[in-house]
Amino acid sequence: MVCSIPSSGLRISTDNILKSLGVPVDQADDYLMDKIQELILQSVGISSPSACWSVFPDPRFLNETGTMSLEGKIFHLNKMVTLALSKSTRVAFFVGTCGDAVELLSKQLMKDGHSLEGLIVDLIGSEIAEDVADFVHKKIEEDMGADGLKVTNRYSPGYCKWPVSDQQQLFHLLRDNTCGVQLTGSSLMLPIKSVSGIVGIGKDVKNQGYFCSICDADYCLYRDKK
Amino acid sequence: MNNDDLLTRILTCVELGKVNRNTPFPPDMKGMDGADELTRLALERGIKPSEILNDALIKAMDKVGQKFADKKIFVPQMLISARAMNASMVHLKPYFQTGEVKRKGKLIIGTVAGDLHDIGKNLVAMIVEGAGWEVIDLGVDVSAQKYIHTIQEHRDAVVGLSALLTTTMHNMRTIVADIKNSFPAVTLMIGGAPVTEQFRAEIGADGYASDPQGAVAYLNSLIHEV
Ligand code: B12
Repeated sequence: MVCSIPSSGLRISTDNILKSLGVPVDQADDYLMDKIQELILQSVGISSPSACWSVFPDPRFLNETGTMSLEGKIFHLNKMVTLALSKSTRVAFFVGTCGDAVELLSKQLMKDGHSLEGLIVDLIGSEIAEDVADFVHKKIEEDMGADGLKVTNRYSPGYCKWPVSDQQQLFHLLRDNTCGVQLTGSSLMLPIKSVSGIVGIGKDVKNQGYFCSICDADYCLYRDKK
Repeated sequence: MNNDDLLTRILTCVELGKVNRNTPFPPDMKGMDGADELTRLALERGIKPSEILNDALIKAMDKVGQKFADKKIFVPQMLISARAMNASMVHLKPYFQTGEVKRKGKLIIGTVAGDLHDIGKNLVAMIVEGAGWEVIDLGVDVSAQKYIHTIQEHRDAVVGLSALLTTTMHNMRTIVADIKNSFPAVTLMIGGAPVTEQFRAEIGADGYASDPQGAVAYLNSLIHEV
């Protein structure tokens, strides 16, 4: 499945950008607020957010080793993710991207010496990528809901100690259904503003929200924020 | 306006982020000359470029760094100040080339192989540059080879490595070893959310900082050692 995401599906907020810039919302001056708003409009206008996903039947989960076997491949999801997905009877892999125009705009601004503007545009690109992931997650939920199925949280290679190198297998299974996103030899996606992941599907699964206490990635800035 | 007043005005422009006459920021300096015009005037008056650099620009950026550390200003203001400083630096450039004025030193920086997260690295680069260092930014997914090649051309540079993925922290270890193998005397500074002082000691890098101010403080400490 492929979907291009309408800009109304994006919820880039000035507050989030301020947060990423480390500016307390009550201390932002008009100059900065106007600048962020203007750059959000410009960036959203040139972005081409899209997402692709494919659903695979019969995943087998091994909770002891924290692995999943699917289509003859072993995924090293890690115990925490395996546990959360273990009741799934199907899984969806997805890739979503903001496209590369926002990235290029950011680079150009930085090159021209407008580092603040370049940084803000870069942060907006990351927000768009995250929004795309939210969007595709909901879309999968709606699609599956039509068949009376539910979905789990989404998890990404690289999160919660699931090695990013598993991206190779994920992309292999998605074949060309990746919205033009390419994987490098070192398992990174180009354009940069892209996200990938897995969603579990089944009658008895649930979306539990994120439970940081089980994950031991202490350094994660997302920890206990959601 | 005597020469001292002129230097103070350049300092104020950089501190408050007044780039040139046309820039709207800060609102209460609208229509006034900025770092650009005033630096040109100072040079026309025969003020030494090294005086402009040391008594106005670097002093201004020191103040900016202190205000940032005291949470009186945030990243955006710091970048606007850095831009005003660059507007002034444009006029000083010819004197750097002849060797009449010297920057504090050089930093080669990049996000290590296998990683594309560069927001933090970019911030460090911009702020280190604002603090009077020349910065050579190698971008993302940078291999040991690329670092070594660049060091060959800039033997006196300090090298900064950034990683955001735990998997690329491992690459950091091998890249640090490879660089030290080729250039035992080069100073390596590392950073990124999952990186710690303990990890630095483990992999044999020389410096670690958790934020741009820490990076500047570390770099400046290298000059004082000499
Ligand atoms: C923004 C972001 C993105 C953006 C990337 C934007 C970009 N251009 O960098 C997007 C949304 C695209 C993204 C995607 C992915 N991401 Co990401 N991302 C983040 C996030 C939310 C914030 C990182 C950030 O910019 N922080 C703000 C900056 C200012 O902070 P910083 O980088 O730490 O830098 C500061 C200091 O560390 C220091 N510093 C930094 N570098 C250096 C260098 C030196 C020399 C020094 C001295 C100091 C220093 O100074 C900086 C300023 O204070 C983190 C969450 C987190 N925990 O950090 C995840 C995170 C880094 N991502 C993660 C992952 C896994 C991914 C993906 C692989 C997921 C996926 N499968 O889709 C993809 C990969 C994308 C690709 N193209 O392949 C994981 C990594 C986990 C791990 N095991 O290592 C994290 C930790 C999220 C998580 N919850 O687990 N990501």
